[in-house]
Amino acid sequence: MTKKIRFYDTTVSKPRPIKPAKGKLGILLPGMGAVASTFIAGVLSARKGMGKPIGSLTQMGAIRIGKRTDHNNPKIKDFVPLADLHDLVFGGWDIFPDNMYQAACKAGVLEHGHLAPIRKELEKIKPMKAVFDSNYVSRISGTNVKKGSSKMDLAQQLMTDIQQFKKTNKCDRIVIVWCGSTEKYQTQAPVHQSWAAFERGLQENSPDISPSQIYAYAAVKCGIPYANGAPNLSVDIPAIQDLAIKHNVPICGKDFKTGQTFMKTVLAPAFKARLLGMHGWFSANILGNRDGEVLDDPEAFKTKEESKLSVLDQILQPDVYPELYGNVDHRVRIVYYPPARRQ
Amino acid sequence: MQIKVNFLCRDSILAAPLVLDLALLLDLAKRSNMSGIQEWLSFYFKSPMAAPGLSPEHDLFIQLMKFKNTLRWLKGEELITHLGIEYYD
Repeated sequence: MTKKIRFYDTTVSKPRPIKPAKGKLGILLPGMGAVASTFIAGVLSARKGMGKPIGSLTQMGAIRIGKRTDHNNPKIKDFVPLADLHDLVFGGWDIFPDNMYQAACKAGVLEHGHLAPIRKELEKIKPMKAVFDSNYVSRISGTNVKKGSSKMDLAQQLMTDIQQFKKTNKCDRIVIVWCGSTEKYQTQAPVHQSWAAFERGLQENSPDISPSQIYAYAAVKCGIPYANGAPNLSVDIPAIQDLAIKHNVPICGKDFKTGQTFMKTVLAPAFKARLLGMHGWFSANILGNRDGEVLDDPEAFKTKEESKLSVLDQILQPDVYPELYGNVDHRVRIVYYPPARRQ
Repeated sequence: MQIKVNFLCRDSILAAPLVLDLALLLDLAKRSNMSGIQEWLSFYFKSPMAAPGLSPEHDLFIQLMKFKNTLRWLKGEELITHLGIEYYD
């Protein structure tokens, strides 16, 4: 299917109208394990002035404006209107009923000394019942799971959760960021090709619709922006993308670029810039947490592998430089090794 | 020749600031009336989404330039090309 690419006019130098960031912003996270609890704990600590939001461009980054001779480098958060950390409210869904203090303790990422001063606030944040399907994530199972007569029913339950959360917490706006597990490998099916087919699929319980797609659908239907932190197809299907345009919702993904791929997309452009040829690139991840446990399943690993492998080809351009990069043996391995979480 | 990198990291600590940024920036995008795939947020993703027919950009520094230029564009500021010739007669 070929589609028309929409062009924004980037030559216009007048500012676009941006609504102010008034009121509270609710951040809902499908998947409230290690990443979500570390994120929430980090924001709560930063709010109290007990830690700095290291690694966040919106909080610590600056941006050059105008000519080099202007010496004008405002902070990004002063340049564009962003929600203030004090206006954020947190919630989400998980198959385990643990509150965010318990989840953070189990994850073992942050130390007791970091968690103790914010324990009460973390304990108040509890996950809602999640949409889960063991056909898509096989290595873990939990009890905090929704029951529904169809996938459409589950989507509607999520929409009710979202509206309820917004009301209870007096939020002005909501965004959703997927922090859950990697689902089994999936390619696009007919049910993903249009939102009409997708909605029919939800009603008819299509096996090709994964839980992360049900979340994405619920978000977009409610007009809520959605970021996909895992390699799941999720919002990367025409059905959800068309729906996002129709409902005027921004979406993005997929798969947070954190450790190995982050390093890869820094190093590879350097070798490429100097046109240093390459025989191979071998990467191994040793993971000791739940992420590793889920990826121990070959079907989930395949989804992750595809995401990690795509990176080098685009940077090295083997079709343009066949004698330098035409034969790069790129391999990615993931080893689940529980003691690694103690490092 | 061989290069070995041993990056001993805690993935969740690296992911947490990305969750914060994405939440705040998607909210900004929504308030700026932007919809559909937000390619300028490729910076944060291993496998960035792009419009059908476009190849995604993986180079972290090109992604960063895209990201900052989008913010400048939103505010009606001059985009920065790093050309440099404009400073010399």
